[in-house]
Amino acid sequence: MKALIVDDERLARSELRRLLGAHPDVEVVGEAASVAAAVEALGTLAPDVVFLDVQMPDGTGFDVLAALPSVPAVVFTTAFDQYAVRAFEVSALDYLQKPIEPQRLAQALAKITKAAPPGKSVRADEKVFIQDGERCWLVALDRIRLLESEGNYTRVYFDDQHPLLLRSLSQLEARLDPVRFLRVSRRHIVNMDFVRSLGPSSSGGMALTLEGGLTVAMSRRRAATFRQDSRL
Amino acid sequence: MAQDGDTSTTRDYWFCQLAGWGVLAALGLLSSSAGNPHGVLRYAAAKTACVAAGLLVSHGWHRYLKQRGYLVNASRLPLARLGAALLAPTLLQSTVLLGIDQLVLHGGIFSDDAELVFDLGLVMVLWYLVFGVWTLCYAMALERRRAARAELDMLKLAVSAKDAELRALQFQVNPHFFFNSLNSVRALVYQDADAAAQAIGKLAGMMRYSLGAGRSPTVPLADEVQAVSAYLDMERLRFDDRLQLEMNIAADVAALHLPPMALQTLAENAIRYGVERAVGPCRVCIRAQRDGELLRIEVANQGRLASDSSSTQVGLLNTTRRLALQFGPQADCTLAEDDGWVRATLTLPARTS
Repeated sequence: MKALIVDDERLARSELRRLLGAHPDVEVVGEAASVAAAVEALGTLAPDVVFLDVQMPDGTGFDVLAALPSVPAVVFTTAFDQYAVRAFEVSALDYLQKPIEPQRLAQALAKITKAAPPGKSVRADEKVFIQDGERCWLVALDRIRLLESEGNYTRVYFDDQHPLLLRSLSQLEARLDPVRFLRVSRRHIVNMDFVRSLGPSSSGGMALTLEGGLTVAMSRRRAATFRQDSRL
Repeated sequence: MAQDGDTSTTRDYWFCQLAGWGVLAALGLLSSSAGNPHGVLRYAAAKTACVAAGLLVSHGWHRYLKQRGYLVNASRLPLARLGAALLAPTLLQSTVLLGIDQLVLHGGIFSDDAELVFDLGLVMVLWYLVFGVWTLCYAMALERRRAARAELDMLKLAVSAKDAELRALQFQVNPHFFFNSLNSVRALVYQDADAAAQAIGKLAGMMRYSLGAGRSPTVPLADEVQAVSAYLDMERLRFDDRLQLEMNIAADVAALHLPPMALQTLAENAIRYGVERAVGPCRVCIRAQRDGELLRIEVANQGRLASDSSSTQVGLLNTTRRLALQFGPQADCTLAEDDGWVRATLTLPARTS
């Protein structure tokens, strides 16, 4: 698997590279020393896993994740910021404390390999990182029920949470699977896996009731297209 | 302190007693002013005597309650026992009332034999209620005082905890720095064994200085500078050429004293808010010189003051206050930004002890 090392200290990067040398299945494809460089490297190198320092000169590791359209496997490396990492709502992130214990690194790598479905790359399980104020989430796309446009931002409904993502609905739509995620109106994209019932709405369109009780209106035009497509 | 609390409590108790019974007396006097066959004065005197007796009886009741500890636990009042015990002040007060009626009013109230039992019963029920309400008010006052005391205790505890925390922080090696340094040293072990050995020596020296720093109120600047140099060497390992250090300590200030960890704290802040936040090289200048009767220490780093620096201002104010307590009004600590530099200046009277 391809790995990217992000840390602003040269010695820390070379130390992690040395430790990863014991794992022949891991190929270090690059290094970055700042948030900006990390975001760029993640875009061009598309690594399977990123080892991410929490504190960097131009921001934090969370800022790196927040700038990405989708997030690869992440392992935070911290000197003494594990509290920041533990504060995560979704503890899908692993963290290693510097100086890193070789056994802990092996465990973290094993966890990533195990999480990847057999025959597929580790990136198959796409996740999006959401930072809303002090709180952060790493959410698998298939757990999102509804995306609701709020100006240039988007409110993301999953589980019992609905934080605000600093990206527009159109930006998000471009990279979502159009079969599963249906644009039902100017303001809403619905995950069809969560639709429990469909009914006519007063405005001539359709009303979609989602798991968990949310109801979304589908505009008349889109409802017509939808009926045609699904031959209702 | 405890005695002050006790006297003020006693004062509050008597204030409430006199106010309560005073109001009762005033009401009695007002109702006496309506004409009646036995004369206003006699009735007024009888009622005042009655209220005075009530005050005394309630005071006795108060002592009894205290002695028995009936009101110690507000959530578990022995209501049945209290209710029964309330009969005592009621009987006493009713007897006094009967006596006063016979002596002063010559049976003005309890004259009619036919209604004597009913009148007596009515009087006893009334006084039972009066003492009941009295007890309720007293219990409520006690509870409020208890709550206020508990709150005060909590505050004192929080303040002393903060104080201890501050002291501990002042002499503690920053864990973020410590673990990052260990990580750097481990990397060096494989790259440059000599550099690794030197780094371990520096880390040990720093640690030893910081552990001993709390023992004396002041240290010679030369000692502090040595520890700070070791610290900055470690930081240079971590940050490479991102840390551009200039150190300029005048020869005539080496023996002057300053509080331990004072320069160390300023240097740590310069690294934390300057170098750690700079993607490229960042200069840090440390200067110490004599200015007449004053020692001036300046730590400057390239960068900007944090925009939300209200907590910094509070910290500076506290530092200045502490310095003033220890060194007098000449001592001062300031932080300013000018022309891309953040300058922390520490001014102390030039003393050699």
